[in-house]
Amino acid sequence: MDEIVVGLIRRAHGLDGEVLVELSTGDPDAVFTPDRVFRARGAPGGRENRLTLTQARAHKGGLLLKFREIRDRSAAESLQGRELGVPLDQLRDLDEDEFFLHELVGYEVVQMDGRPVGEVVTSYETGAQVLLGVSAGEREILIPFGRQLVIEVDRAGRRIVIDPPPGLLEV
Amino acid sequence: MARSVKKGPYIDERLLARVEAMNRSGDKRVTKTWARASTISPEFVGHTVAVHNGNKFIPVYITENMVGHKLGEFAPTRLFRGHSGKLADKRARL
Repeated sequence: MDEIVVGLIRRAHGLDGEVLVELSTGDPDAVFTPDRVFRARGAPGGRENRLTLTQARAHKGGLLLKFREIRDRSAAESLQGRELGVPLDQLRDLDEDEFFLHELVGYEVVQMDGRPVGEVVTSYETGAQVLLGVSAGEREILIPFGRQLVIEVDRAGRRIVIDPPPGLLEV
Repeated sequence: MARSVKKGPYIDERLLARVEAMNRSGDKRVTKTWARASTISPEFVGHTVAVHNGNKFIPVYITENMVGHKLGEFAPTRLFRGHSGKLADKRARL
């Protein structure tokens, strides 16, 4: 079962075992609900913890989370740097025109006439839009990911067809 | 302090002239600009503007809800790649 990372524990907060979490989900209200069980990954020695959420509140662009199993600051500090994962099937299903950003990495990008552009190596979120970083030789081309430029995303063929305006591939 | 209403919004003249010329000819060529402080006017909608972020040009496809904002708001000066290899719950919609 695939597991998706929804947050990174940055540090302990206060004395009661709360932790500050940097979000890596676009839908925190739906993910961080009371009684949901998270897996804290990345401990030295491959140790894992199952953590049951009891409380979540916003703090400094992230969330302060309280888990049933974590009762004091020392326990909270031991979680620093761990990632919080949930099984993929517990998250909202993707809509037809929706994609995980990590899923697009490795896709081949081609123009409408079949001319190759490159391969998606990364993605950037700029606030207003998502940019795909496409490696074309030694250059990286940035392509806004939107209906206006992206004609088709072929999941089976791991291919993205784009219709770039003149000059985009030379920027 | 906000800019005086009397002056109207600041729009880079050269950029606006280029966009208006493209609108007349129906061209959608990507236009490069350093004018991060320029306000996005309705003429820009549907064009792709490559806005310099101090290091490289960031292509920005202009949509209606960007009108009134500055170009620089959409071309961050620090591009965060994310944690590579992580299966994060980050989604994009076409």
